[in-house]
Amino acid sequence: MSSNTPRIKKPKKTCDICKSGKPVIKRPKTGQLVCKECFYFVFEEEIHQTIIQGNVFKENEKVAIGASGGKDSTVLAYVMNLLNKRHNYKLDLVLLSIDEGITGYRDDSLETVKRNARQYNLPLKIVSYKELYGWSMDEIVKEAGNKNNCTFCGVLRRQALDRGAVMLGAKHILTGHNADDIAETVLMNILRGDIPRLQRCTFITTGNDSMIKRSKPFKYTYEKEIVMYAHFKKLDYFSTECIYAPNAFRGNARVFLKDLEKVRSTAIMDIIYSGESYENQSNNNIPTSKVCERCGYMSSNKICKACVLLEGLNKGLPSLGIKKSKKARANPKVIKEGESKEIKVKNFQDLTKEENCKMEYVVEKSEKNNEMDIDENKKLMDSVNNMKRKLQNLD
Amino acid sequence: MEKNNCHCSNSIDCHTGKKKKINCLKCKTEPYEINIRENYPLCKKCFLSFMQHKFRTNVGQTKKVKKGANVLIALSGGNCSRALLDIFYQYHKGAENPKSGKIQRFNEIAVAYVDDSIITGQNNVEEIKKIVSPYNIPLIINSIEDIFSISLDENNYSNIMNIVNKEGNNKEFTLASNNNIDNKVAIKELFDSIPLIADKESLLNNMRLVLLNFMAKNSKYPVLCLGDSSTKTAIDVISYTCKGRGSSLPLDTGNESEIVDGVIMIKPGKTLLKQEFIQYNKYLELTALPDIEMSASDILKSIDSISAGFINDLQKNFPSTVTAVVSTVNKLTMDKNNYSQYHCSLCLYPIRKDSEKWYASKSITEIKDINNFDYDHTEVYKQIPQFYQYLCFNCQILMDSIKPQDNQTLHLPSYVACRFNKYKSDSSQ
Repeated sequence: MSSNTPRIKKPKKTCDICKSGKPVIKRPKTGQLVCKECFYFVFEEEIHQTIIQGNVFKENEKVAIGASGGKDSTVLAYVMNLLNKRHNYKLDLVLLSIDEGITGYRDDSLETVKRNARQYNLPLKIVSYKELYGWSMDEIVKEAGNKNNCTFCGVLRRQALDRGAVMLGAKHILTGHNADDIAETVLMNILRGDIPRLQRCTFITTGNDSMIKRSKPFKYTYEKEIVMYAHFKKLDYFSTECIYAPNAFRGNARVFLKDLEKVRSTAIMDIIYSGESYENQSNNNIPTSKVCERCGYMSSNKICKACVLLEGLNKGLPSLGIKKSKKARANPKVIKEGESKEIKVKNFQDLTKEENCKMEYVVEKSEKNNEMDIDENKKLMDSVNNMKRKLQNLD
Repeated sequence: MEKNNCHCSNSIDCHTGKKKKINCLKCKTEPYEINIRENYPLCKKCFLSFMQHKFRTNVGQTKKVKKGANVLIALSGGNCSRALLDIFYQYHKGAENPKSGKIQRFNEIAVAYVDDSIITGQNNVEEIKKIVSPYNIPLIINSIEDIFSISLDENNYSNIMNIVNKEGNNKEFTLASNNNIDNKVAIKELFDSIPLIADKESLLNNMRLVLLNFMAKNSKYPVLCLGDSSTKTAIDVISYTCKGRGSSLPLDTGNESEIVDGVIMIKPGKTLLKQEFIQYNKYLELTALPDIEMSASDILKSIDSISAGFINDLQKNFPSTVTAVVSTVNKLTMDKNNYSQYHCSLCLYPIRKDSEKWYASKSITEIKDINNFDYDHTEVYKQIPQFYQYLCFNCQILMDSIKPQDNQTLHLPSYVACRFNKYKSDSSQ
């Protein structure tokens, strides 16, 4: 019977933008079905819009891209390199990687970063925990156990990135935080009751008043689109999760977000919109910025968190800075002779640009790159300025 | 020495294995019966007075409410509003006796109920009448479809907002004269055209709140008491954030707010947990309507239900979650400079400036020439309906979710059209 019924051919779906290409992705942000070419255009140009609207860069700025070798930072390095040339931002881009010292994870991902540096022809600097603090993450986990790994790693990485940037002479770091990460952080800050961070977490650039500022060009870019972009462009990235314990609290928010996305994929953008509108006019909650007495890094207390954690590790009190001070100091571990580590962390204020900074990869400039067509350059600059004016007037 | 340092929190002594005698934290004489807040064990008598006391404190903190005002208590029939009605009544009645030494803060109290059976399919009017009748106070009932024939500013029902499909998956919002549309048909068609449960819930909540405010204003009750618990507030904070309603969160979840001139909404149950209201009803044998049961598949389509699950799960593991979320939102403020002079035509809450352009500025939906990177991205702003200027971000999402069928004309209530008309003429002047 069924063989007699005429088969009705379904009309072939076409790209919602160009109306001709074969759709390869349904965009979570707009719900449109788009073809590969249109996807590349909107993906790259939306990031450009974010940069222009956020007034992220200054001309001739040296910018360090935080590169871990994962999907976000790999796509960030690729796209920033592309947009820098396409829209002539005139940025001096450098890749900056942190080697936490996690065997089987970071050593492999750093190999990816090294390959990326060569592929995109960007200089690469690697700064290691061991070199800065005298402790690798493997050693820290051995000392402090499996709990609270992420506290150590997160606190130390933040400072390590800033130290690396100073060594390179960069005052601006780009990170690959995407829209999903920001939405997650908004929810977590509500749950934690952290009002100052709740306001700050949706800013595109933070740390304007500190020595090194940080920006998130992927603020409105979905994780799903980043993965698809990396996949279509066949970018070389490292996709293994960190071998140490995942962060349980963030995990709760992540699961919730995934459920929400199933209801409405634009929910992530809606959370960011909500996050941007959270205000607290009283300045009572903002801690005054101080300088750590030991390492000279910015801190809200006399001694910064990194120094407290390192003191705990050096003195055999690994829970110092995590548990209450009294409890942490109650049962000191007996340190055998020769085990004591008293490594002095270099004062942050004394750090300067290293003229002969040891680089993992150095760019060899070709003559072609140096001879930029002046007319083309001027034309591009005019178009960028024109768009800037239009956007800023309307905002 | 060892025993003194014991931190066992339950009522069983970990050293002897015998039951420990824990007394009520308040009276210190009676053994405790409940310990909802984990570190606050209370006996029945102290618990009931604790509920009254918390309520009294919250009412006392309202600054805009004038002494001797009439109060309309919104009742949904659920555990929280049911218990709050009883607490409010006891508070009001207790002060009537001059010997009590308590101040009679309010003049007259009444109950308001919105019958939304046309949308939910559950008619609870008789149960509500049974709940209210022992108190011998007025009960005002309106059906949700009445929202189509209310006027908030002046008696102007002449206009209505029509929604029709336009070419290219767009919608057109036009003002039309009100030809006495059938309210029941209009609301049914409007809700049937919204595919997502999450959006239906939002629209129903918005309409219910506007109708309650209208009922209060129309019946000369300048104070509207809502039965929100702190658990509900915490869930709302999360779900409103996810729906893009964060810009009006301080008002949405505030202790006292005003969206219709002359009606102040108060939430005196905002510091009490839902579990405490349930316990109150249990002790006093007060019957409440059961929570609406949703199928597992429907729960996954509702942002409110997912948020409720998220908060309830966290609350089980971290008992201070609800209080932390509520105290966070209490600290949020609204800077007038960032808000438009107009309030949302649909939900009546303030509109953040340029909210209608936000999505368009963050996404590219059209490409004129794929090789030309010198394009005018702001051209898409021209396609945004003018009506969206007078809607908050969340209500814009709601309007986007409405999908009229071809040749179908849907309607929005006349108060929406009236507001839109007023704002449009104000801005053209």
